[in-house]
Amino acid sequence: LRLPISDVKTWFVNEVLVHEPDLVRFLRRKLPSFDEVEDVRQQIYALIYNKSLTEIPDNARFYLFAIARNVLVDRIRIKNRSASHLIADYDINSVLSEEPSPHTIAEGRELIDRLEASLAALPDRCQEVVRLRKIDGLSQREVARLLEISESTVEKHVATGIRRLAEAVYGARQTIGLDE
Amino acid sequence: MTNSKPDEIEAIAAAYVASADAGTLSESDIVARDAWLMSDARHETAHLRLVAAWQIADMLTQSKFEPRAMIPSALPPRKLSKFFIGGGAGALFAMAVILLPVNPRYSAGLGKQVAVNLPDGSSMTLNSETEISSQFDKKTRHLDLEKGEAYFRVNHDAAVPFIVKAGPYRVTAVGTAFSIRRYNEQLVVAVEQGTVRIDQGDGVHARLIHAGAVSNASARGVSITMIGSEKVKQNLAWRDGLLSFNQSSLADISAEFNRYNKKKIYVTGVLGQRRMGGVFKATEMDAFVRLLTTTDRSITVATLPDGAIRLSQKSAPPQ
Repeated sequence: LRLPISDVKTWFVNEVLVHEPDLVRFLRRKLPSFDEVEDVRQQIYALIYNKSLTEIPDNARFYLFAIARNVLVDRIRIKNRSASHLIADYDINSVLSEEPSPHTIAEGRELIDRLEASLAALPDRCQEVVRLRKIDGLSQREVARLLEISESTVEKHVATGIRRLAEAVYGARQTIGLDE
Repeated sequence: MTNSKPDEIEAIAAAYVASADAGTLSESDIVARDAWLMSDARHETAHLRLVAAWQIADMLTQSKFEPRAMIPSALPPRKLSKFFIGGGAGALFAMAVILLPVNPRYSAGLGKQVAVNLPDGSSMTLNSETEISSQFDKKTRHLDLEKGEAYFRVNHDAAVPFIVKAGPYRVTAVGTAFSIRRYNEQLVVAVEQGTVRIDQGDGVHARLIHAGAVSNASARGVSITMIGSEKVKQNLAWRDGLLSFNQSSLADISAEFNRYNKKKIYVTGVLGQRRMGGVFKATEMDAFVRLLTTTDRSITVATLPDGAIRLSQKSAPPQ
């Protein structure tokens, strides 16, 4: 039995992605590098998404962190194959005992502020393109003509803008960013 | 699982979101994208994550970055009036005429559609029972849809935003073709071409509506639904005096006819939920009723004292 794909997607966006700030904060405390955090995050999303294709879990947040712990524990086991069991057990216990803080993505005015800050931080050309597309409502062709650049260049700037704005949407909130 | 790096996955996903947003994906691009998405759940989720973020970024319309009206449109300009062909003095004369402030009112009576050429080269079509007041000068292009429905084709002006007020809402065009309908405390905006912005006059609750989308605004807020350009065109059939239905209920269809005709039509009981489609002339309600009664003999027609027509179904349970 497979659920209609759109339900799963909606569920994933509304119930799983909203916990990304906490998930990433949780992973950062356990993993040494940014790349590893991103890698593990993508792996966790893939696992929870595949699982939800057959059955959507009742409590997305609980399930998300259960998967996160499993993935981290597996990593520790693989890394510590040669190390003593004591070290591995200590790391594993610290993963299992840690409770993620209960915050989701920013909303309302805070979200707008975050998007604004992220837009303002984009390189000039990229920022102009995103403004014209997103706020002034011009088409890609219109932006290309206005700035006298190719449409594919416009598209590249938009792609960059999408990634940066996504960081604003899913990033840890400023007010509690001190512990990072 | 493949061994692609997290950054690579995100970069590819972002490129697909950008192309889809620009509408530049070809059939084969779409096939390639879907294959990429299906090949690994990491691809699918990375893509979903960016699609959602880019949609959420629409909230930027509520930010301090105001939309700028001085952006020249790259849309092909509408044919200007003949005055301009002569150039020189003729063109100057035409400019002088346009720069004078003019504030006429426009209206269309029951069952009528009225086409209007506006002073700035834009045009609009008013639907049945519509009232619009206007204010046009060199710095202003303001219309107030007091009631009814109208279709606007906006000639882009480099310096002057085209604004249609409708109740508490304000619709700002950025170089586009769209329609607005007011009824029952609701506002429906359908965009045929380009993009319009809807807000409550002070930039609060601003949303962008793109071509092929319909927005429904009421006291409960603004919702936007992508229905596709074909359906938007269908919704605009009234400009040709036609009503176009696709699986609409008889209750809705009769309400539509009643917008155009003095003689009203009422559908009683479960018959109102019967669905049907077709294209009809808005003013030829009788032809519609004839068609209905000849295709379904169980439908009875009664003429009420005020001339209105009541349709009911013989087998329908008593109300």
